[in-house]
Amino acid sequence: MKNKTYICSAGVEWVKNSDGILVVQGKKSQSYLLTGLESALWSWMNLSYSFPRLVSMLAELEGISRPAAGRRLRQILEDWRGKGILEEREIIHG
Amino acid sequence: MANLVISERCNLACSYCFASDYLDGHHGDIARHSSPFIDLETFENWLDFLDRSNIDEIRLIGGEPSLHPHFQEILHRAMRRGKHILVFTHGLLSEGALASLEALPLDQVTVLVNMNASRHLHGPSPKENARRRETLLRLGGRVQLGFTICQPDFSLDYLLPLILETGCQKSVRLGIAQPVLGGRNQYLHPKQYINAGRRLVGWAERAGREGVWLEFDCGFVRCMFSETDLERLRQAGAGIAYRCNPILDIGLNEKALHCFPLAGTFHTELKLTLTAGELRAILVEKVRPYRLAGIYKECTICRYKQSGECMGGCLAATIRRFQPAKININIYGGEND
Amino acid sequence: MISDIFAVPIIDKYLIYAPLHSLATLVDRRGAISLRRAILEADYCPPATIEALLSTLRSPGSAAPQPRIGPINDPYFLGLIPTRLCNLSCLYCDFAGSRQPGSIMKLTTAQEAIEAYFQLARQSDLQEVEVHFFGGEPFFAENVVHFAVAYAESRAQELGLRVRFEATSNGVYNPERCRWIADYFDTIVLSLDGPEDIQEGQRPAKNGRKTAQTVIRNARILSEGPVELVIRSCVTQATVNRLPEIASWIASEFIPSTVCFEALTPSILSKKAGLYPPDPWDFARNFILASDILEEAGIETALSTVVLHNLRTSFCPVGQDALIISPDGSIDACYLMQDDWKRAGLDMHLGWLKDGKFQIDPKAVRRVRNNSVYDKPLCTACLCHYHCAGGCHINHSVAHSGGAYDSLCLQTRLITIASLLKRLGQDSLMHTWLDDRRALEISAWQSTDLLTSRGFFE
Repeated sequence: MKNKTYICSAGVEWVKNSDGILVVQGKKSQSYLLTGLESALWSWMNLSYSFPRLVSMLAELEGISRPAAGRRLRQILEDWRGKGILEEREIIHG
Repeated sequence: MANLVISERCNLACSYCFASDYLDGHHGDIARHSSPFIDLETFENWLDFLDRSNIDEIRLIGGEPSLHPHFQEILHRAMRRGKHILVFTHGLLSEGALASLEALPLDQVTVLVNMNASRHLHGPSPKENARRRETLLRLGGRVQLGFTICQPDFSLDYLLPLILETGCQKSVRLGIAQPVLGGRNQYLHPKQYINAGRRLVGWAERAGREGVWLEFDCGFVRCMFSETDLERLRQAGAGIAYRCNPILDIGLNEKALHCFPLAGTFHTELKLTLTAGELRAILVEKVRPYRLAGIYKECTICRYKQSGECMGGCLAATIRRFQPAKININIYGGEND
Repeated sequence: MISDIFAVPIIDKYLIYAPLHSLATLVDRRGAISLRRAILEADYCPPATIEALLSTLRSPGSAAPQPRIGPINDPYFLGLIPTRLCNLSCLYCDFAGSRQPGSIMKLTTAQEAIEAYFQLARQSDLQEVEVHFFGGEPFFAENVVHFAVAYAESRAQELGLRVRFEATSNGVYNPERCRWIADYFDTIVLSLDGPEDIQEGQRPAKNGRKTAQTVIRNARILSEGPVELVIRSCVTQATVNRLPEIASWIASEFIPSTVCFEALTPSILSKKAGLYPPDPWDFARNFILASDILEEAGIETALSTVVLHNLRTSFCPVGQDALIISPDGSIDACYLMQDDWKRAGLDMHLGWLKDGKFQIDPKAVRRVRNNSVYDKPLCTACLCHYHCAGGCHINHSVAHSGGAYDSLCLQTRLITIASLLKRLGQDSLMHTWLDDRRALEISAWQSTDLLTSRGFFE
């Protein structure tokens, strides 16, 4: 499996509200409401938690195994990539 | 409706001014043009635009519009269109400007005087107040007083005797100083709204007894008043509104702005072939996703916002709550599978 | 008979305070004497001037607050102590030094505590729940807090509960973390003693690093954000006369809802550092001057023992069924250290979090609930009876007889009186009284405030 990086697409902004996290892509006039697990992951990611740490916390949060948590996390990242919130880049080691 | 920026100059320095960043050209993607005053030909084009847009009011703003070297001519041309004229001014007018406004019929012009505009950090000096009083006496019923709440310990007490003495209109248009997105102006923080709300209710009742009522400009929110205070305001005849539906600002740089606080981010090319409504629709679409939020995190679950009774406060204050996403996650092959 | 009517001399008048009737008023001495006679003598005919007052006092008031009874079904809040560790070495802090255990709460412990609390709330049909974080410095174990908040939010949404988060913090973290706190917490109590020279002098980091600028920056971030910011300022003998200056600074730099000025609680550490509690008279005077300044900016000023709207039998969460979970799963009623309870001859332990459930000893609950103002002789006849309720059970001794007030009592009494006078619109009288040391002493040293006490006017 390739090494990769997920980074935010340009112009993505967000705000925490009572009903969840509102993510806005101003230039595309699009918005998404993240709740529950996605909201938690989004906020931890913006605090620069590493992938392994996220998996660990997700496993505890959901009461699932680490491999299952890893798969779930990848799935969510891909979902956000599909929505255009994130972009995927290959990690190139020089 | 549309506000026409006829002058980018102002000779005051209000700490809360939400136009100063725009006027100083600090917003990089709005290039400065050659003159700070509109030329008469362009002004005529703007008047044609208002006609095509079926707008029957000409709203002159700045900077300070009365500083325009051809202010009198501007007023004459506006008058010739048969429209009502609204001039937003700090009220410290030159004799020429004062005389020009004095010459206009009472029923065709409203001069909105910002009563706490000032050169000084802590508000108007006695000299400024005296000059403003002179404006009120000369213009009388043409004048509506305006006041911008920019700090929690404000006072409206001095306005009531002025209104009663000078014969100006018996209403005060209240605004809340809002933040310029990316700017540095003084503004009232949403956390301070409730205290501001409490303060103005008492004054509204005193004013109401004298037949003077309050009118809310944009940015007020429902939750800044208790139910009791809302009822007191209604009894006092206040024009309560929780708006954020700004009027299009037409600038000298051929841009149409959503509003001054958002001038640096939300603007569009001023195509005079379109109507004001069409330009506004373009800007409304640009800000639409941000409208889901409000100035408080509770706005998204507030029934008053959901029903449309309250807009959730100033959009600039709302957008200020947003932060850029900073996700950067490295996944190394096979990790945690 | 009408009871719980307190009367305190204020220069040539008497402040009458009946908390169970939500009443405070000023009468002259003659009026106070008449009022007392009307209450005590069945056949006394009171003058017309006090009839309205008597009528109010004779109408049913609120019931006097009573200690809770029965099983714990409505906890005041769930407290989580992610860690006792701290990144500062505040000169007066009892959590400093080698006393604190170094453990960090496991994520599973936090999760189980939250789950057990939410299930208890559901069983009791509660709509709102509160999770408070204590330390040391709770954000020193930040991933526990990040996890706990995410879990609590998610579960609360699933269970249809509204959850509030509160923390007491030293404010030393990077801007990103601070922004997260501002977004996710409902209330933050930030320890900020004053401008840089005070803050740096009293609250250095471990290894003596400077942190004042960090805390001040973060106070601005918290001001800007949606969180309710409460600033807690520890006042010493050295800083008490600067309270008005501190208040002006806070009002101009930040947007707190409330500023709490608290007099230093002396300890071995504080004495070693040369820090002493302020003179209570100076504290009261300067507190009121500071509160005038903050009030203009729409900011409340608070002293923890003077919360007049909150009639209670216990000053703190003890006795109100707060469940405070330590890293090892211990459930306690108080967030202070066990050594401190023992020193005060008290036991605040309630039970253990085991197998995902609260295992609470009913006898322990009864024992803790018995720490109420009704067992404090010093408080029996004090007008602060129902809101101060004797102050901190651990740090404030109230075993003395009535009238033997210590510094905490004096400042509480003075600020209570001043607050009541302010409520009555008697600002001028209040300031005159505050400037008159003799008048302050007469008010504050009165051994019984109960109007119906034997020999009250003698």
